[in-house]
Amino acid sequence: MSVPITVATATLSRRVVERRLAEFVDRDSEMRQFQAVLQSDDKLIMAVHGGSGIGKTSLLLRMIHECALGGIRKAEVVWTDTNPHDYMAVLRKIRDDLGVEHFQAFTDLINYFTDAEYRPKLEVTLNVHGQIAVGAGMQVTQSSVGDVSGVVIRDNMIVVQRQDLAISVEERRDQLTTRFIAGLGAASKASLVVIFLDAIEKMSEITYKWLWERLLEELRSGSLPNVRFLLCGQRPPPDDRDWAMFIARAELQPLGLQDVAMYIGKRAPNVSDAMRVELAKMILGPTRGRPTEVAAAVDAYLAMSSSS
Amino acid sequence: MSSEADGSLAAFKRLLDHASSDAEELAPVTFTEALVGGTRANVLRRCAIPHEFNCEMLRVLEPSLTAEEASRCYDRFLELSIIQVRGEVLSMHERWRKPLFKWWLRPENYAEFAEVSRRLAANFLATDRREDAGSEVEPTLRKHLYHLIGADPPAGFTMFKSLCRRARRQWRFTECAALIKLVSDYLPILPEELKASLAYQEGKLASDLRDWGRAEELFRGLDSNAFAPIELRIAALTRLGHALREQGRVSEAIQILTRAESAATGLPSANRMSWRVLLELGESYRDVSQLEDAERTLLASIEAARSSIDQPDCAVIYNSLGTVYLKRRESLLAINAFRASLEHLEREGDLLQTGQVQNNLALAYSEQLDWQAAERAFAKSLELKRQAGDLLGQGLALQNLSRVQTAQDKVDEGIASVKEAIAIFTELKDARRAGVAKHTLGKLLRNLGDTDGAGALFKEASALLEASGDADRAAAARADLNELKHKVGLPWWAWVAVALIPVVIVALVIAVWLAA
Repeated sequence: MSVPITVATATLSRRVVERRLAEFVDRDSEMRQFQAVLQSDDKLIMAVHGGSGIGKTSLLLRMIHECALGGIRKAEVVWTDTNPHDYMAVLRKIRDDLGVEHFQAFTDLINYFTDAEYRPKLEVTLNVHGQIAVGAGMQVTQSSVGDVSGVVIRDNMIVVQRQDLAISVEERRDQLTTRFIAGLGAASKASLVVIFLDAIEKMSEITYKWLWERLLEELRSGSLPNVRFLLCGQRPPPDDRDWAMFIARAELQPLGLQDVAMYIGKRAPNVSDAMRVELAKMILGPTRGRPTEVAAAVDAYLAMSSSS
Repeated sequence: MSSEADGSLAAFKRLLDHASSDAEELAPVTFTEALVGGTRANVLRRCAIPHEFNCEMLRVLEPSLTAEEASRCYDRFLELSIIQVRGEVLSMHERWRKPLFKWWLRPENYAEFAEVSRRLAANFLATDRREDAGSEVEPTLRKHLYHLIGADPPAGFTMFKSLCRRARRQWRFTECAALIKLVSDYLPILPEELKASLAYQEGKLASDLRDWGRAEELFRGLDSNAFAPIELRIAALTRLGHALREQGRVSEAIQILTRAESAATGLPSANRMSWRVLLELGESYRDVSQLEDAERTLLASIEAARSSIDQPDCAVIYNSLGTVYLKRRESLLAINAFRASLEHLEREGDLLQTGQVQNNLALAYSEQLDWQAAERAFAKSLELKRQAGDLLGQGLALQNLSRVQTAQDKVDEGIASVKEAIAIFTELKDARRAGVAKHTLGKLLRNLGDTDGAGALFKEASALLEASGDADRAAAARADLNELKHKVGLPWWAWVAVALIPVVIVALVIAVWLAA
């Protein structure tokens, strides 16, 4: 359903997000890890993982906020049950977040692969040996893959690939990724870019495989020195020694008593210290320190206090 | 602490105790009551039915709300920690949504749930269902499907199968996986027959992703599922046979497929799938070289395809039949079968498979020693594989092309083709195939008298083949190299001189005898 957003609603939701950021507790070591990933070439990927309700998304929001404060450009892809991005959707979303102008060649090819009526502006060169005109009917305006000056190629946003080309899906995926990587390289040439991927456990196996074997592999090979990935979800990164040295792992742990007490202090500043500790002890048991449940318990406490 | 504070703390403790002693599904119910109270609590619980909601959707969930009440509810829910905020769209955190959704599926709540689902399904009814619909339409369509299943499971499931079929046809396996996941939320209320059908769709997806272990597990489960209709079980057995073949377990596959064939025989409702059972069985017979059985079964598959109301894959059946004839060295029959396959592929506009069948056709022409026709077919196959970006296919086609070019004394062209094949196999790091191609090129150079070039290639081929574990071919390359060394041990005039020695001796003897 598409509902026009009211100014009041937008302001309110922004205010709520800001308030939640301000109430954020603990996770200092994870934030330091994140800063280290941004500031050095040592680790290129940060993988935040943990069970449901452990506070991954809150941490992610905090990291995104940090990027905004530091003027670092970012892209964000969130998987949901009703929006299970495949590789094309992932690439499109990152492109749109970082600026379509860097990804003209990619957009040109994605249009060509999805729209039989589309005439590519750039040469379509596939993995062929010998002489063959693959992109028959194209309007080649440059002899090699690159930007077309003065022309903005608009994505037709078609999600179904055309079936009248003798090009396998694997080959298409590979070619699109190659052009995307070139665009990402251009987009990140002058400054750091962070790509946030949230709820990766909802990613299909085929997309997950592509992510590690193709997209992140480019990062590992050193072709994208100014790009960092932040992976967030219930699924831990692959337990692979070849990858380990490139990944900063952060498995989130439940909150401790002090953290819960501090959180209560932020939510209910008028509550006395003794009461805060008492409440924290009470809450910690049944919630097992899971931040989402702690927060809900504090909500309930505040609702009951205000009604009594 | 004041007595008021003590009182609220005690009440809060009672709530926590109550929530933690409840069954897991009830804890969120208790909590929602505590969070927002009576009437609003039920609206909040209804927010667990969709994946996300906004202010206007609150009135779909609870039509008695006025616009103003909905807005107040929205503002209140926005403040709750169990609610996640993304722009104007809210969603209940999964930690709370999942148990609440399960609670809604309980028999005592289902009537209310179905009614809300019916309204949500109508709300998300997609207006645009074109096959090339853009990315905006798809999430809405998925949401419509999701709530349609809640409102009317059989109708929703029919839509699910149709969307799944379409996604598979479009090679969108991520979409299939997403649809299966959505339907799985309803497992507690799905009739057993639909559960079986869902498992079948999962099995098909596992096969598409070549996850044969998972596919086998799911199809075997259906074979022993008493609730699965017989047609579904036959279909599962057929796909199980395929999964077994793909794992190299052809004998097991034949047993399973024979069982599927027996079950389908005489069952009118299984007519539509008989061609597929017979195709799998015929290919299995071919794989174990029971060629008479393979021919008989594949001919029966063609016959069954003619009367099937499904969309039978005749191109594949004819291609398989052609390969059986090729194995039996009946090249004329093979050529006819491959041509029939190509006709079907042309009609369907399938260019990807055409390359493979052209290659098979060329092999059949080669068997007939019709080199010109073979060259044309290999060239066509090569062109299609280039378009497909299929590097390995290009290498193999070039190697075959080289063979037929050489057979027509077009040695230079043959050498150029095999050199290109070597470049491809080297790029692909396929040592064995690069070794075979180098051995072939060495033989061509040897025939042209370039013994140095041939020797170097035999040496390289032998090393590559040895490294890739193909001992037989490595030995053959070494034998050619040794033969070459042996031949190049003496210059040609020396061999002539050696051959002339007996002649000279005999001539001398005769001369001496005559003189005497």
